[in-house]
Amino acid sequence: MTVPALKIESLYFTYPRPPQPLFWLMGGKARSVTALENVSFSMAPGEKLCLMGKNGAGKTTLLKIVMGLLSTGHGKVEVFGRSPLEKEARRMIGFSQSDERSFYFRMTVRENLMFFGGIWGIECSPLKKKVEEMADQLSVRDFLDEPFAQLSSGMKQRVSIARSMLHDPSLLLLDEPTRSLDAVAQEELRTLLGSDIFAGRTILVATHNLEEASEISGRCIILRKGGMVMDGTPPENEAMLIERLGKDAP
Amino acid sequence: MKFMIPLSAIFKRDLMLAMSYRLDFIIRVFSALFAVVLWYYLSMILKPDVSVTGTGDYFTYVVIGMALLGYINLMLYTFSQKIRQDQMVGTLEFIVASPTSPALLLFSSTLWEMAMETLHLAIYLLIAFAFGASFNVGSLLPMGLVFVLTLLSFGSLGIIAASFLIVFKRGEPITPFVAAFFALLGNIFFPAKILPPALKTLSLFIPLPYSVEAVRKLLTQGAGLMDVLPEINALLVFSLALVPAAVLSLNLSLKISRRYGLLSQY
Repeated sequence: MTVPALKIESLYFTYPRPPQPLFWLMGGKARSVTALENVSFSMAPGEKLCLMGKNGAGKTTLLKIVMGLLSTGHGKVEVFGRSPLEKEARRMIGFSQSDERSFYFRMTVRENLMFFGGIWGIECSPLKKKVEEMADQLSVRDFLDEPFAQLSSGMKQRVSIARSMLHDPSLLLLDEPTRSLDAVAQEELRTLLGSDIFAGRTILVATHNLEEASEISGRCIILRKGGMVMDGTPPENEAMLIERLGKDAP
Repeated sequence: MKFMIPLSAIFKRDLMLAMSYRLDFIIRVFSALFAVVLWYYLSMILKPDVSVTGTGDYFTYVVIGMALLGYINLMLYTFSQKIRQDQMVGTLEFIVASPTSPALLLFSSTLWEMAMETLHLAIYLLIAFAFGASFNVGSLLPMGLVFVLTLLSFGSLGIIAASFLIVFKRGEPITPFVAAFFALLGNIFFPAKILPPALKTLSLFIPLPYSVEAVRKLLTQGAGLMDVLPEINALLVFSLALVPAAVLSLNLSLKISRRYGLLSQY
């Protein structure tokens, strides 16, 4: 039997209010917030899936749990049969988010990629080749020796995807990859996601964009207030999507 | 030797970032010069009791203490500063998500600063020598041993401080307090034996006086391994106690962060 690339079973996650005196010392004002409630799904190796939901619906929380950045609350998360906190599981995951703050702005694109590849344990010589290869495939070669700060948002997003691919991950997590990109850059990126370099990889994309969801995958999960309200083909139009997302506050 | 890959990646990153802030290095050299000049003139008007300091040469006495204090402060602050920097830049989540152990990542992130501080220490002592500090350097092996054990002890305290920062974001609650406390009790400006009995006893339970004492013996008395064995033993005990405590506190802080979703906050 094939091991699922990603298996999530009855997952609950609450950002808890820390116990006193920790809460007071942390200057806490936050109340306890339930971010995910009874989420279950699995992805077969090589499958592409879009995760949709309004802001605050729990998409990023889910991706962070799969990344091992948040501990699993109640329920089970497995990446190719392993806990996301295991090193072996982390080697199989690539992660790209739309927040461009996660790079060193004073370093060049190449220096950034060499650094992140290094902490992923890739040796210098194969890493150099991989950086060149990724730069070619993601069309950022001309910018490799430019400071990261000088890139456009679209280029930064491509570099972010290049970073997530350096260690050849089997599972790729993309958090709103086209957010804040203009229409042309969005279209270019979507075309890129359909290209050969992503073939065979399991890809989970969190997005707000229905067109993008339909283009990337035939399967879509919709989260609403942390719970799953749909697991199937993407809604046919915006009206149906809005109905699924719900008009109330997340 | 797999651990060398992330270690060298982090060292190169810090080298590149440092190269983009060149003024910092120049300021460090000048600050060493000013500090030595200050102590040179101050020691002219200070006549220490030889029975207390063990030497009439207060200038040499204090510059060695000050040079070591720079190292200690580096160890106490660097880990927290590196964590803070990655929190602010937004790279902390990606670094923590890597398969490399957090302790190795954190340790590696101080290597560049350690190298710079060693250079700074050498410049500091050279300037002091030029101003008349009298050195009689002993064996290098015990010197290396004392430095490694000092770094392990204070590096561990620095990691404990950084663990606080991961959870509480600001404050580094123990660092300024501990740094001031060590300056008072650490045989830097005066021997701890002139302090009131309670503080004198307390000084036995911190690693700094042992490091400073050993380095003074090695740099001014031409001492060998056997002469500094009591200090090396004491530093070994501190290291054996503090290193596991540091690893535990770092793992605990990351566990709390994962539970409460604190890694991306700053």
